[in-house]
Amino acid sequence: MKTRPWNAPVISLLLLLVTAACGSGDGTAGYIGRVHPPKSPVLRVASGEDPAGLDPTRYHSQNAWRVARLLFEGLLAFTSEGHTTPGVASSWSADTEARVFTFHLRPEARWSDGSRVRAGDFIHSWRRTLDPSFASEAAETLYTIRGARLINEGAAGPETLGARAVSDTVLVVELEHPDPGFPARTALPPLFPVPPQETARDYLNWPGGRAPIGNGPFVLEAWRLNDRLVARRSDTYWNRDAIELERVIFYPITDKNTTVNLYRAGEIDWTTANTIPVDQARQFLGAGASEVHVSTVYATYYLELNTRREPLSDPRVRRALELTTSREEIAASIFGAGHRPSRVMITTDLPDWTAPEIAGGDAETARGLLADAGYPGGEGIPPLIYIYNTGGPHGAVAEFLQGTWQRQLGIRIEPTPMDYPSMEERGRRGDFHIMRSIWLVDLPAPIEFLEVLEGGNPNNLTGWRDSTYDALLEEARRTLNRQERYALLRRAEERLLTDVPIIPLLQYANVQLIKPYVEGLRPNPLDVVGWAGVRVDTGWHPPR
Amino acid sequence: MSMKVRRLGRDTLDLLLLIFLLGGAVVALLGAEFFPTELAGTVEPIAQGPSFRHILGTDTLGRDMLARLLEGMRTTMGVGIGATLLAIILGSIYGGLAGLAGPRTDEAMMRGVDVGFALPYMFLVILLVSFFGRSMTLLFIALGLVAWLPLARVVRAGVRNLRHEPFLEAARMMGGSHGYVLRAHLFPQLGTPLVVYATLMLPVVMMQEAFLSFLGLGVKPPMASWGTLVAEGVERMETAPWILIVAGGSLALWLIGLHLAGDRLARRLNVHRTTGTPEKIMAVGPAPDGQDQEDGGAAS
Amino acid sequence: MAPPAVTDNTGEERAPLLPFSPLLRRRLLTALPTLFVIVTLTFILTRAAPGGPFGKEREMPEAVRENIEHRYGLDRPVYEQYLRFWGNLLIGSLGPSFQQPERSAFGVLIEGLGPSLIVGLSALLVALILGIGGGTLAVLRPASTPVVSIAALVALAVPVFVLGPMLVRFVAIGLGLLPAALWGSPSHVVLPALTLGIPVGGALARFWRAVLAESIELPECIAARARGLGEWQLVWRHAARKSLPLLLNYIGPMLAGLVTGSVVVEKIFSIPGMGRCFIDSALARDYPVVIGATLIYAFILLVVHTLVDLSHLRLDPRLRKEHTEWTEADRALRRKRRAAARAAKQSRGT
Repeated sequence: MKTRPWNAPVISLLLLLVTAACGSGDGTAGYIGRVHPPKSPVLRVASGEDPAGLDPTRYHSQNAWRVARLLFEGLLAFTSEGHTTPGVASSWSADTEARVFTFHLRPEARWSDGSRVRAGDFIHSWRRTLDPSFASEAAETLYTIRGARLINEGAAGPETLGARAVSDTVLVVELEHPDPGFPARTALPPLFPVPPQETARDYLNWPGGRAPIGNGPFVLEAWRLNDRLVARRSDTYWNRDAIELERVIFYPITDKNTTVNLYRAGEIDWTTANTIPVDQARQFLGAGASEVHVSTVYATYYLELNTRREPLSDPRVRRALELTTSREEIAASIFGAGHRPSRVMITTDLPDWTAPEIAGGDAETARGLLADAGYPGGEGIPPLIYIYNTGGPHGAVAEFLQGTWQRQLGIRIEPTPMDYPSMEERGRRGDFHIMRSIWLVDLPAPIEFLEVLEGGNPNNLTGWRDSTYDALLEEARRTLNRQERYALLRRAEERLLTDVPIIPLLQYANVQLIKPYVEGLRPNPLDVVGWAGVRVDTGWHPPR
Repeated sequence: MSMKVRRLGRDTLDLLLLIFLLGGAVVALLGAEFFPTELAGTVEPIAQGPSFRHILGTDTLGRDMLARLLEGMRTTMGVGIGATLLAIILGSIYGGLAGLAGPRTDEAMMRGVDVGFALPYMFLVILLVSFFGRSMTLLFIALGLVAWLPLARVVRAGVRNLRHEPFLEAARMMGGSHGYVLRAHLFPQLGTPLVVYATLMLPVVMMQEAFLSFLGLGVKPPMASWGTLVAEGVERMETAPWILIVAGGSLALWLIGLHLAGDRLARRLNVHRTTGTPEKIMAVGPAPDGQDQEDGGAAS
Repeated sequence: MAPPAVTDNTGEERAPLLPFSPLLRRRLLTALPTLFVIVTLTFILTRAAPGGPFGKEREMPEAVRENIEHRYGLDRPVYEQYLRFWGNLLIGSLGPSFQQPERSAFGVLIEGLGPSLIVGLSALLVALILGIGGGTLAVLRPASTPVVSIAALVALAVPVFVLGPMLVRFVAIGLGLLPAALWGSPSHVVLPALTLGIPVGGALARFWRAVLAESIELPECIAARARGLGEWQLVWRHAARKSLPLLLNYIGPMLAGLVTGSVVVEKIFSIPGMGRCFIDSALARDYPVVIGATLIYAFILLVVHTLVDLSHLRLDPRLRKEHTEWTEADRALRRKRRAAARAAKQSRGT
């Protein structure tokens, strides 16, 4: 082969290019990828998925709520630490029974069109949310208010709702049963006010119309589906001086690897919960970068066992499965990003909460139980259908447990993936043996975790119904004293875990990446943001 | 002399290609028997790079990648061959009947094929698989349904070209039905081009299987397919690059081999005499005016 | 040009309704059943699919579920839903999106159409440049044939969902040359267009090489070569012209490849396009958007196919002539058959 004089430089240039391409960019040392603060105080957020819509009272999903909290505000709000703080209401009080609450609204609260936020706006909004023809998927959040359930079921008129506006600034709410935690509930978007001047409008055909009128720290500037949602600082928000960001941009990026790529490229400042792949999260955690923020979430990953079906109708079989569930391995190898193996339903992170003790046992005990139940060595047990939705770690969990249970108990599992609506449908029909589930609570109260398994709760797909359990929960609801209430709930949880209609696997965690020039964002177990105090340091440069 | 050397080289290359493809198929078929995939949840380390114990490393559940790959190859080849066979059967029957039928039925049947081409097929497959769950049977039926249209054209063109051959005239004059004529006289003649088109179709179908796998619509786990492994490799590109390199590399090599084999077969067997060049036939666009009719709707 | 006059057997002379009317008529005859089949098929698929358009994070009480079903008319009998859907469609509406209840399904789709078209057309350009360039090069410079063939095969054998992340990893992250994803400026189009265009370009290069190699062997090309025409000129003046109509045939499969690939590319690059919309909607049981998207794709295919047909006739006067002749012959034949049938009937009758 003839050598040509230009070969050498071309080849070396190519080699140089390839070497450069294989690196992970001109990242700043010690940080993940490029770190260049934006020129103006704008926060660019990878937000997972577009919200279903802008109406705060209609949806029940983290994505919709995140946007709702940007554009609207309730009586109370959350801080970045996840604590409640006064919102539209500057103060509130309860009667001795914690059944009737009086909220005092700040007179300076404004809608973005300049009009006042009045107590009547809340009444109006709540009635609208409960209206059957409005068909809000979040109506259940309001059911603690007296009369709410009947209105939503169409059995009573909207005027029967247990809430009234005494004046423009005084709002009185009556509950179904005592709940000292009710004020915190008003910080949930379904209880936010919507402007009465907007009621005729169904927000339909957005973006044809104007941006919706809100009362939150930001107002909507632009929203294009699957592209971006831009909100700009509101001029009318009562606490506008505390808002330092000029704009917030939500990018709905559904591919988790793409999210990390954009973060590396410096085009995203914050990746919210569940938006980066677990394996990369683990890698970042291992490298100990300061941008990685782990927080537990008030959420439990568990398996629902169909107690209506043989052989899971036998509690001994359920217990045998529970005892041999290899939580530690699953937490470490499939998640391993702050997720903790757990045998209990209620997260142990709740303040003052201690979990009940449950009897342990090894694989030998489990095999014994199985033999007692008439299935020695798993004989006579048909393959158990384990349904889960594709995407995320659920398939890996199913396959892992398939291996474990087959080896330890001789029970065969048939992992059956499907998309979410199919799983939901099969779950509701009871057409499964084992189904994966995650329960994420709205508020940090232990009862929120246990209500899922109450008889008649639509989320209880196990077919398990226990009158003692239901009675304990009902009693706890009526009990005002916190210690007594917690004792009742602990007994209820113990009962649940002894009868094993569910197998808790782990307590969830979120790993989020936040650029070093962003201040005031603190990932918390409720996954909420207090926008006051979040800032972007445009003059930031890496410390030397 | 130089011509001869080149020819010899070609033959050797073809032989190597054949060995590569057949060898791959045999390895996929038997390998999965000898190296069965372990169930997940072993004590083996997860997502580990290549080592002596695991030549190709382990996947994210600690399973041996080599075993997974062999299983995946078998699945994908199975789906691919199944779908291609289905396409051939459907296409042959439909195309054969259209080719033998009178001009009006022929016209109507080919318009039917046009309607088929105008359907956004892949989208219907996506709907089908996402709505009705993931099973190997559904997958290969769905992919086969996408692939049968061009084959219907191939067969029809072949039949049209052959229909005036004396042996056919004779068979028909003796009162043979369409079915009989097709079975006894035409398919044997069309066998060669069908094999060639099947070879060209196979990599396309396998690629579609990979595509569906990426969308999470592939085979049901713990079963693996080449496509699901490649999709997994892409997902773990940063933390476990060997999965992508091994699965993606082998898939690409195999597909290239198939494409080459299809080309070589078409050249060697000279199929365009019967049905037109593969390029033109595989260009499955709208019925180009004048192609369907080149032998004239009015010819009979 | 004047529409070709057709003389039929009766001796009367009449002009066809439209220029190339038999062709358009045929297209139209295909179009209507196609649309009907698509609407019906997707409708059946969506209604037969398990699950419904309900909240994703938790189960709802029965009352809430019923309210939502009522709102979308899902509590009515299926045939009624089907008829209503057609009713809506005829006035150009698909109803509200289930997944985005504050928007109309049509609005959701139209918003996504722009980015999809931009990416698709840029990818088409990439594919044409790579395919035509590569194919021509391989024919003209036999030394380059193996390189082109292998490059084309590799392009064909690497799945789009591997190529995309690779390009992002090495070009966007590694070299920092282009944005890794998102939408909004021309530079955002480059990587998606390459990802989508390269595999299609590979297929096209193989096709074009084969077609060109064949036309270059045609007698007129050999004659032109004998006259001393340069290779490039030969290709440009003769072979390419001969092969162009065949290229048109290839637009169909190219389009199919682009449309299918767009689903993946839009996801990887987070582009607000229709392909991504389609998958999301299918997974969320957003029936109106799913059916609408399928319809729009079918419509695009249909338009392109018709354009291809028309260009065929424009490009190739011989074809035009053949076409007219064929139509004529076909008519004559039908008439003859009818006459024969009549005669047979009469003879049987007597």
